[in-house]
Amino acid sequence: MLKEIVFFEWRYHARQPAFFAAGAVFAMLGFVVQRSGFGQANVAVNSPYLVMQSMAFLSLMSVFAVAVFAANAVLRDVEHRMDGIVFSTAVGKFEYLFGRFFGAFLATSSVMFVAMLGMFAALPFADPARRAPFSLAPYAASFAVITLPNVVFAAVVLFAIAVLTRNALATYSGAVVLYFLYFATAALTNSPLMAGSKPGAAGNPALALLDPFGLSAFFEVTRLWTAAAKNRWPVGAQGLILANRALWLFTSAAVWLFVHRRFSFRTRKGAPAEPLPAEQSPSRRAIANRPVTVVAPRRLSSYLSITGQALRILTSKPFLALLAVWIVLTSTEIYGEILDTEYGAALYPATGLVMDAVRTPLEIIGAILLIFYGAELYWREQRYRFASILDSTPVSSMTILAAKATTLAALIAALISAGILPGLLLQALRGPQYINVVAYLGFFASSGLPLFVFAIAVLLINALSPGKYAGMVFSVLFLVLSKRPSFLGLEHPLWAYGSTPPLQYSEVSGFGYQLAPFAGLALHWLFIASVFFCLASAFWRTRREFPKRALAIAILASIVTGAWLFTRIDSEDRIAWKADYEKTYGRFATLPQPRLAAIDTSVDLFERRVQVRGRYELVNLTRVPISRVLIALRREAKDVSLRIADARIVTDARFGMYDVTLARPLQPGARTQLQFAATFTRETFDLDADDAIVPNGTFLMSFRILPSIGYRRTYELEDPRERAKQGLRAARPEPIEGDVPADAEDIRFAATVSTPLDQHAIAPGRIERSWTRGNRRYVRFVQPRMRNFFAIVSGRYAVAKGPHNIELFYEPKHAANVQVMIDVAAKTLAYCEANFGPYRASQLRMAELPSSANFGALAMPNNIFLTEHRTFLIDRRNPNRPDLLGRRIAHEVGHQWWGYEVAPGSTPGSTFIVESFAKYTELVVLERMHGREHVRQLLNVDRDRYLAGRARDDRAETPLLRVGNQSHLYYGKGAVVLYGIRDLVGEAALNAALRAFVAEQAPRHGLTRSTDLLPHLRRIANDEQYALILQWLNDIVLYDFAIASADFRNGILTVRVKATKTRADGEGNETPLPMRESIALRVTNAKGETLYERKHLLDGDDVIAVAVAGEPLFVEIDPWLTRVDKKLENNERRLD
Amino acid sequence: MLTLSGISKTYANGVRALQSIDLTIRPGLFGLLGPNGAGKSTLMRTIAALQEPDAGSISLDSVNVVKDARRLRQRLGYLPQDFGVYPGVSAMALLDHVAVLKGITNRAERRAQVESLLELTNLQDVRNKAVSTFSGGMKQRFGIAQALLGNPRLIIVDEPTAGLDPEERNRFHNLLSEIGEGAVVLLSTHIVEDVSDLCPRMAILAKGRIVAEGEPLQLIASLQGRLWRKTIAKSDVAAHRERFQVISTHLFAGETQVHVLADEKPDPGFEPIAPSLEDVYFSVLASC
Repeated sequence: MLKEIVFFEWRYHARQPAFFAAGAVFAMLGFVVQRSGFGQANVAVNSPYLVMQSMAFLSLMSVFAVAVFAANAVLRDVEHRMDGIVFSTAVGKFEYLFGRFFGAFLATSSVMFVAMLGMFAALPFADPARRAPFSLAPYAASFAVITLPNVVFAAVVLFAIAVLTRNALATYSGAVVLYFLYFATAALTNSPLMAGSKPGAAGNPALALLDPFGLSAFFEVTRLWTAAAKNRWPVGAQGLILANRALWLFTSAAVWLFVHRRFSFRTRKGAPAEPLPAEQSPSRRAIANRPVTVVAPRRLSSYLSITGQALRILTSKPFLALLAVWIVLTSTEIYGEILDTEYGAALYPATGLVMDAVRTPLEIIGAILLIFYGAELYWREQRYRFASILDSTPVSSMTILAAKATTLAALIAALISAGILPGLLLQALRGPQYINVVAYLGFFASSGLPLFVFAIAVLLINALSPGKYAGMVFSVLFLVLSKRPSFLGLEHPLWAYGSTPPLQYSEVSGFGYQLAPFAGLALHWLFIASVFFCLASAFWRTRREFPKRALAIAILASIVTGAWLFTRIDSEDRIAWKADYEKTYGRFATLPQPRLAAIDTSVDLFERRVQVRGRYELVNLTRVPISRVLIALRREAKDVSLRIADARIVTDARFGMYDVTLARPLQPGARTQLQFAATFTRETFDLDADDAIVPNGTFLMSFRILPSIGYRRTYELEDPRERAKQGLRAARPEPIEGDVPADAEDIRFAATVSTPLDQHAIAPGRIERSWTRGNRRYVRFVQPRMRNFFAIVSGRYAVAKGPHNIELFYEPKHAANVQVMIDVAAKTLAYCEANFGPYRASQLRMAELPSSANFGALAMPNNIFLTEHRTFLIDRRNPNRPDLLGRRIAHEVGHQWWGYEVAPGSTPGSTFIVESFAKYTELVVLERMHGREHVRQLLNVDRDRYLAGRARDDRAETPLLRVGNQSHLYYGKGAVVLYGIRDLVGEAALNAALRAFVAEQAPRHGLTRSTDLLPHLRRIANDEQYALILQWLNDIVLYDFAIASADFRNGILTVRVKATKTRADGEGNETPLPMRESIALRVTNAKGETLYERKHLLDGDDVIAVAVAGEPLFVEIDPWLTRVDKKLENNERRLD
Repeated sequence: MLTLSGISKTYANGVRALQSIDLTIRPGLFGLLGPNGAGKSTLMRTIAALQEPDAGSISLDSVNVVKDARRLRQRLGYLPQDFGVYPGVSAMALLDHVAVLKGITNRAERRAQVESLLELTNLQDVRNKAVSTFSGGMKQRFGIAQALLGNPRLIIVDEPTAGLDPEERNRFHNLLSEIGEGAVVLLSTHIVEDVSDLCPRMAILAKGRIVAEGEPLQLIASLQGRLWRKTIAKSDVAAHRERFQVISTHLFAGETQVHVLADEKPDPGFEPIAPSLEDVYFSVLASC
């Protein structure tokens, strides 16, 4: 009997339109995911790792299919009123339940299988460079380990909800809750997929167990796998993945048993809760139907009445339960964004941060919810068999649909309100002054609008679909394609239906100038949604009207806004532009060009407008006469004027390049002048503008507003694959030896900056003079010698002053950390002057920037710029948290030496000199402030950042001496290695070498190379130490220390330590190296006091016996992280 | 007055549900009788403008139903054959909802009509109870109440008594007989008594065609003197069918009675009987 039931179920599902729709949609998704090369770029698309990642993603989407089939398997009896017949048959409980369940499971599995076929079909179209020889094994493994258990779990849970509630909405809510679980675990395990994945947030790997889809476990297991490992190592049921799968299969079984126990064939609707009153016999008097006035129904009252009926969906238990779980989810997101951010530090609860935390989950969960609830709402009258009555009334379909759209809008509003609720609570508890109503309103608009226009699309899709379930499946497809139109090769932003800029809120600059572009796009999408709405009305089931006029107006309006936006969006492909730039001007990279000797500029900042004028002194330092000069100025510049004596200038507007031919060539050693002027404006409806020009906190990098001489390498395309696609050589041309990049030149600097009276201007240099004229304030800055890398900043700042002529310009609301920042800066200046050499500028200016600036902090010559949300909002009230603020300030002050006193050219390894040593400075200063234990915590974050970063990086790993633009190397690895060198030779010796290096390189701006450091290190190290240092800097060296056993008896501690040392190549393939190094062994007691600490020479497998007084509890090898240890968990052992 | 001319409808699967229907229906109760599957509901839904005919025209008073469905709906009361309601909504609230949709925008008038219809349909005591908990008869009465909202000129009741017990059906008949002053009330049913009890005019629909139309008494009179009855053994039924024009067979107290149509007494075993509407119905069905 069971067999027949299952067969019947299978046939039933296999004939539903929704089944074909789901099959087609998932085949397409599988194809698209594989074809688009989704995933890390140096890993083959059909490698075990990426196959599992892709299939895990597809299985996330499978919840839709499961919801459709599981809900259908159970609810169809009730919806089609078959329950009476089915439940009264002789079918047994187990046969009925299992048959129905298994049918739904089979249907979903088939759809997922089709998705896998879609992946196969895409393989021949995938990038050949990323295609490994075909093997079925990874697909089979992923299907068995990820897909099937996921389908089982989702099917069991949704089936259970459907069986026990007989309520479609409850079932869909269950589906959404499954996503919540995934999201919450991804946030809590700091999954690499989450946008806000940040170094050092205290993600707990064990929580990956709780992800019902296994994705978090998969990422946890493979977190440190390098590209080589990802390409080769099989992924299957191993470690945490196995545990996760077992947990959820076990849970599935438990849920199944529970359902089986609770289910009863007795239909739940028995007698009415309260008996109806006994019928009176009808009154004898004849009652005439009273005459009433009937008018054409008023749209408004009909609309309100239908909306009132439909809104009941939002007060239903399933929706309220869903909101409760949603609040839990956003709580975890807000926690991660505010209370457990970079390095585990906490922030003050600014409204902008709450918005950032809720935005992404809202975008995704909101869309999923709309797919389910939109379909349910569209088919609501049908489902309750009220459709004929409704349709026989004279109400227009537009009115009915307007009521449904309103209900969905209310759903969105409820979701947003509930989502920010934990944020409001947190703000009330930890900083009520940060509650900002305007910001929240902006959040409602900017998050609600894309969801609302999607809701309208969902209504149209359902109007065009044969039924509710097909409608859901097609909506999923529409969602994916509207978020990623590039899957179809449609790159223009106007293809992405409903996409608007996210309206970020800064406490300094508010919404900046984003509101107008947002409003423009929002209007456009609303018009398109109106077109959809009219079409949905026209296709309403009884085809009662075709709103031709409204449709015509909506189409016309969307064409007008669309055309208008089209002209305002730079549709030029940025990648092609960069490639063309290099193709056109790359050959001039070696053209002898004059150098910049001095800048004297005036910058006038107005609202939305910046005017620059100025004079460059150019000098020919080459040995040849120069007759051709290239000048670059960003192409947005207006009213450009460039003047050089006796020159002819040809303008290339596309690239903002000016080709200057000098009538009389500039002889070696000769000088000339370039006079320039230009205007930059932030247009009201500029949709591509960066956030450099804002109402408060304008931040203008020199190269954004000033001309530069020669070919601009910063315009080049970096990504090697994109370069290859554009027909460029994969590797960017190496800078020429001895060629000084424009931003590393030594210049004499002078600038006059004018601002409105209420703003302060910031630029490098000593303030020579300041004055006011009219309603403007003028400041004249001069600096006799500095690296040509600066910014002009202006804002309504408060100013605090400190020792060493330190000035801090900050938003008056953000005063909490001001004193600490000045103190740390002063301490760092003192340390660096004592150890690395004198600070040459007469002042150090720090200023706050709005969160729209896309960095945490930026050091420039005697200026440091810090963003509000990553510095000023740091909440230091809990002293046990890592001192993120202190390390940031110390780091940036360190750059005054590492980057500006020593200024390497843009050669390989330059970031090692600039960033790794700033990192080193930060750590030694923090060690003085908070002790070595504190620094150990930070070092551990850096170690992890390195290991996780090298696993994720799609470029080959380079040794530190040749490191490029890879932050996990120059920050993460750099910190550990330099601290290791300090441990090896001692801080005094290392600093002596650094002092000598700084002194030697200070006059060589733009010429310093990373290898120039080596002779100085050679002088302070013995042969053995130097060999080791060279190995660390010149190679990729990894260690693994482990305490294999430890035994304490009669005051003697016997420890067996295993140590391995390997050398890795760029892809992560490792070869063993001999191990012979002295590493510290530490023994501590229960109170954490050190009982023993000494270095021991390790050969690989050593037994160490030492006498220890007291009661040792822990023994630990390399306690201070002096080596890059691949696995830290085995470094410590508890004595039993 | 409701006029149908040349209404035809063929479904996508080839079923010819309606074939060139012509009818003129004056105000008052009009019975549309027909067996299951005759096309009654299709015709009702077409008249209610819930679906479009392939050919033909329908007009109510001067409103073209097919072209101007909106104006028809302002004059329409419709009780579908099978309907449900939103769960948990009270009778009064749901009536008020439909009243708004029908265009009764004056709140006081709306309330008054809802009250009077609740009274008319004897639902005033359960006005605040959810319609979804009603018994079958109560639900049908609710159905007629909502159909009567807004003084419709055309009231369509599609199989309203199916599944009602005799008492409830009786009650429903009383209700129907009281409504529809001056309105066209179209009652579709497969139950002969519904028509014989209520309708001064009627038509019989079979296989998508109107096969008889007129006043019930007139139709009955056409069989006067031509209807014969005989009680026979069950085994003789087939033989009788071959020899005579048997229009129906009934079981009565365990024996089989055949009704035969003939101008003269077919054989001595037959006795003449007075025709009923049921005989008209069967005679018409038997001949088509």
